[in-house]
Amino acid sequence: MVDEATKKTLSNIPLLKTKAGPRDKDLWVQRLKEEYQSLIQYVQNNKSADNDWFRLESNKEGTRWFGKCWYIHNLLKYEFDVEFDLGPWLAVEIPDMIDKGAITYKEKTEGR
Amino acid sequence: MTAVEWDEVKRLAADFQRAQLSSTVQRLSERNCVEIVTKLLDLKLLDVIFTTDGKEYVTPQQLTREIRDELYVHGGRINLVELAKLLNVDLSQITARATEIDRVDQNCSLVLGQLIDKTYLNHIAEEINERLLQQGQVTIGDLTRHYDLPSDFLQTVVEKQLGKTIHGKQDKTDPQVFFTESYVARNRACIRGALAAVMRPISIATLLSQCGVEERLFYSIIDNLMEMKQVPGVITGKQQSGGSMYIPTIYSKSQNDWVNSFYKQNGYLEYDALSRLGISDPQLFVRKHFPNEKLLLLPSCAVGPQIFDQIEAAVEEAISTGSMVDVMPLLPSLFEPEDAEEILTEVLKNFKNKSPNQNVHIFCNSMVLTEQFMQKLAKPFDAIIQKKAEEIVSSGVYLSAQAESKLQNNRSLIEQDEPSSKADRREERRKKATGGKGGGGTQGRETKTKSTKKKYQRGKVTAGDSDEEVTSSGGKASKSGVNKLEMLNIEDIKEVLITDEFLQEDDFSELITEIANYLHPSLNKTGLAAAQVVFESTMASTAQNRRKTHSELQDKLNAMVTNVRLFEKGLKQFSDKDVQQQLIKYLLKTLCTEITNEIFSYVAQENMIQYDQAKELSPEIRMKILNDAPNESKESLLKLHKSLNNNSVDEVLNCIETALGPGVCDMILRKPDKKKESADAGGVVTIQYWTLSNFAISYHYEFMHNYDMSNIIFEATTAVRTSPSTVGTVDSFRGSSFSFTSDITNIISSSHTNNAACIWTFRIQHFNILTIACYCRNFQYLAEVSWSRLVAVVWQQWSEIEALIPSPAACKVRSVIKFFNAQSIAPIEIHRQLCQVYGPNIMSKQMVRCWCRQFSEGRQSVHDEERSGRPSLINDDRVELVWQCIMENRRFTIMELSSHFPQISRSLFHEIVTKHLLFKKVCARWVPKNLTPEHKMQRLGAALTFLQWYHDDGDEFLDRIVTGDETWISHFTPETKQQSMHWRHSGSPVRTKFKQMLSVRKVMCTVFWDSDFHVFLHLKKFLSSGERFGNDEELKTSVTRWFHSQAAEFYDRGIQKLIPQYDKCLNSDGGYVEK
Repeated sequence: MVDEATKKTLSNIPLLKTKAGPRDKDLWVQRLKEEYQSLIQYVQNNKSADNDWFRLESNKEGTRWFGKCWYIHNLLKYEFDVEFDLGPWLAVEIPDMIDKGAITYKEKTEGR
Repeated sequence: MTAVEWDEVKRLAADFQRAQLSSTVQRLSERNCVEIVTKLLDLKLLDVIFTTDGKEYVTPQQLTREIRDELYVHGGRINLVELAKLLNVDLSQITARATEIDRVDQNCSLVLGQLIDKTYLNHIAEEINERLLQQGQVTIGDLTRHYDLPSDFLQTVVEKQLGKTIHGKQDKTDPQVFFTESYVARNRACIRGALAAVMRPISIATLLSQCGVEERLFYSIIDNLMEMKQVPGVITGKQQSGGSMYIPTIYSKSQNDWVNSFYKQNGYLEYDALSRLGISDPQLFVRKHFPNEKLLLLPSCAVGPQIFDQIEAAVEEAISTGSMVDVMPLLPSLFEPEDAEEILTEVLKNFKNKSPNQNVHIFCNSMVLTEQFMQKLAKPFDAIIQKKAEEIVSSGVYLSAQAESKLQNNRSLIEQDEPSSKADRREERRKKATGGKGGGGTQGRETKTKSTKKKYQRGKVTAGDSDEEVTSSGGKASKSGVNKLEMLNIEDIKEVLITDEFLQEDDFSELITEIANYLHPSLNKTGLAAAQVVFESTMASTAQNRRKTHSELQDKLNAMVTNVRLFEKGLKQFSDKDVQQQLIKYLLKTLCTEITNEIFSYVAQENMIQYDQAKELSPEIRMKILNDAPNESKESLLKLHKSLNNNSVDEVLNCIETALGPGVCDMILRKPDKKKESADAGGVVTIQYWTLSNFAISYHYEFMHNYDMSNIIFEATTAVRTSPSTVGTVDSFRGSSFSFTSDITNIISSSHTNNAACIWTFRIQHFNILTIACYCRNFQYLAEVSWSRLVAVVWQQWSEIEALIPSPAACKVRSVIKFFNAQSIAPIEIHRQLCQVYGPNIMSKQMVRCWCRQFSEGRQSVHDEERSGRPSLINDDRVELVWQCIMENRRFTIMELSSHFPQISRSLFHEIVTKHLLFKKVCARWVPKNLTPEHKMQRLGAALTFLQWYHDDGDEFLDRIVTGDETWISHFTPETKQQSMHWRHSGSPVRTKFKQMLSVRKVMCTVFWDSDFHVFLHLKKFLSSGERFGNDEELKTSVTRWFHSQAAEFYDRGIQKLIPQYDKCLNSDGGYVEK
């Protein structure tokens, strides 16, 4: 499934030990730290191998990631925007989020 | 805690950003390097060679060095392919470098894809030298094989080193061979020894293989030896072919000795023996070897005069004593009979010269028999022949043979086409001859004759006749015939000869056969002569046989006459005289004639009149017999003969009676048995009737078209019906008549079962429909089927079968007629064939004749001629007339014209005007203004000026033009007439349109731009879309909006149009320009 090169790359990155998602509060912070660490490591590895191919940053909570990646082909650089969201939120969390003001709820006035 | 944690996350995020922003280590990847090298190579800045796997580059200098290294490692010789593999460089590159090395370096050379060093060559030279010393000789071919190097290369190498490193000599004849002196000496000694030891001829090849000496070396050595006379023998044959032989002197000497001594001893020489001695052409050898001796060259040996004399003496003795001699025992045993014969002919030739009177025969190639001896042998045959002759004559064979020969003489030409039957007869005769011989006594023969059929008797009597004739006309004819009779066959002769005392030895059977063959013809000749003598003497004794024949004939004639009487009675039953006459004629022709013939042939035999027995007696032959007949019978026979031509059965019967009566045939004719006849009258009549219809049918077949058979049968049936005694027998008749002729049965069954095939068969037999119908009617009487239905059935099938090709085209049939007519077949026949193929109604006979006549007169086309039809009324005069009328007044109507020319119809006028004169009637055109010449001049001037300006200034001029015009715009504009146009079928209803929808108000529109032909045209189109305006303002805004909405080009186009417009105006001399 995974080719040899990928395996090698993976072995050079610290493994993530915490199994958590954004809902896990404290655990998520832990997880996020690990994510960052391994990302830093990976970027450093890439840089030293002259294989830099993306810029990435996240929002404060680490639930939305965005940035750019590129590929050079025939002396032309092709750049792509990258964005991924950790979601969707589960229905049970929605009231909590409304409390926090992360989303607003608007009652439907007209019937069906 | 979480806050701390989050801070940490934040810090990490910052770290991450930093990490991302830090500069990348610039590194050239492998592919970059490859790219760069490729680039450099492209720019010719670098010269490298790729290795085969493409992973390494090598510079040419390095490669050369490597090649040299490898060459050294491999001992001075290396294959380029191997090199390519070792150095991991493409072969082409290696080859290029190797050739470079070869060119530059004197010490290296490139041979057969191998790089070779000088050291290697030296090494080889040493090796070759060693080899040479060991083996004594070396060929370049061997070396080539050994070193796997090209021969010419090796040649140069060896030659270069010859005398230096390689100690040897080059062969003079073959530069490819090298040898040492000692080797040659050794071989020479070997050969000399071998040749000296050889006692008999030996092929060089075997010699060489035994000695183990090379062939080419051998020849060079042998020449040498021959020169020095050290070889006791000669070599024959060609050197190169390998078939050369060495013949030692000692051998040829002993050979000659043997031949001489053998000849001296035996007096002859056998070729076989000579060839055994190894002499290939014995005859030539003999001739050469004994040039002085008189040798006779026979097929298998050569004979000297010694033997010759011996035989001569023997033969001479035989001749003088009149006996025989066999030369075979006198000759050496290996002589063939053919040799003996040749010697004998040679000997006898000499004898002929000496005493030509002596007659000598040679038998079995080697036997000499004198004439006296032969006569002695023939003596015992005299008695036998005499006996044989008697036998033959008494058995009658002789007679028949004579008769035969006479017949053959008479009609040898006619007989030629039946040789097989002749052969049969001869065979029969031969059988009889042998049989007779076995029979022995006279009594036995007698019985035999009796048992043979009448034919033989007759033959015998005739033979007697012929003999009489023979005597009168001289034996000329008989001779040829008798020659064919074989008195003694070869076997008989042989038997007799064996008993002869002289030939009592065992091995003489062949001789006996030959003598028998020789004697056979002469013995036969004498035998036949004897037979003739015997025959004449025995002629008289045959009379008693005749009595027997007589009574037999009598019985037969009696039966026949009874039949005739019966038939005659039957004939009398016919009411129709005509039919009766025909049948009587037929009866006379068949049965009566037969009786007469019997009588005549009997008379002829009695009186030994010669006639042709094989054939039936014709009236002419009868007349001939009559002439030769004795006087007492002549009269009655003549009467009988004549009566056959009268149509009276009674008369004939009377004549027969007298002819058979005493004085002529002496036969007793039974009186008709009245009692018996009346007793079974019914049966008799039936049988009679049956017989009658039988021959009526055969009669019918004889005169197929002359007489309608149905009438006969009809009559016959009626006769049977009316006869009271035979009423009950009709059915039986019907049954029998149904079966006796298959054709008739077919017809009957066809009428019953509608069997088309049967009718078809009859049609082929040239029956016409009516005949068939008659048949059917005839049997309808018996089968009780209605007449009309039968005809209908037959006719239907007839016509169905008829048309092989139904309904052909008329021209096709005519073509067929033309074809047949060209073959000059009669029209009636053509008609018949047409009817056969196309059915009976295809064309009448008259029409066929008509066409035949036309084709004979030279008509070619088979099609109908083109018919002219009604001639056209339109001619040039009338067209001219109408033309003038139109020229006078172009506004005429057809009505007016036709009143002028009452003889021309209106439709014709129309045709002339439209089709011949190509006129169309067109209304005059309406134009808005009638321009006066003055106006036109003005317009012309304006146009000219305009165009002049335009010509001078071009498009710029157009920009300066300002035009203006005005038009009325109504509140409502109906569609223009053109706009209302639409496609329609001629039958669809016409749409009506009302113009009188008057507008309430209208406004003058003035536009400073253009003339009405462009802007206003489009404006009108726009307005007529059907909108109705309430007031002026609305109209104005709408129109203004339209003006604004048009693109600038629209107006431009209007100005541009001015130019062609003015141009037109100029060309039409200032006329009105529309559109």
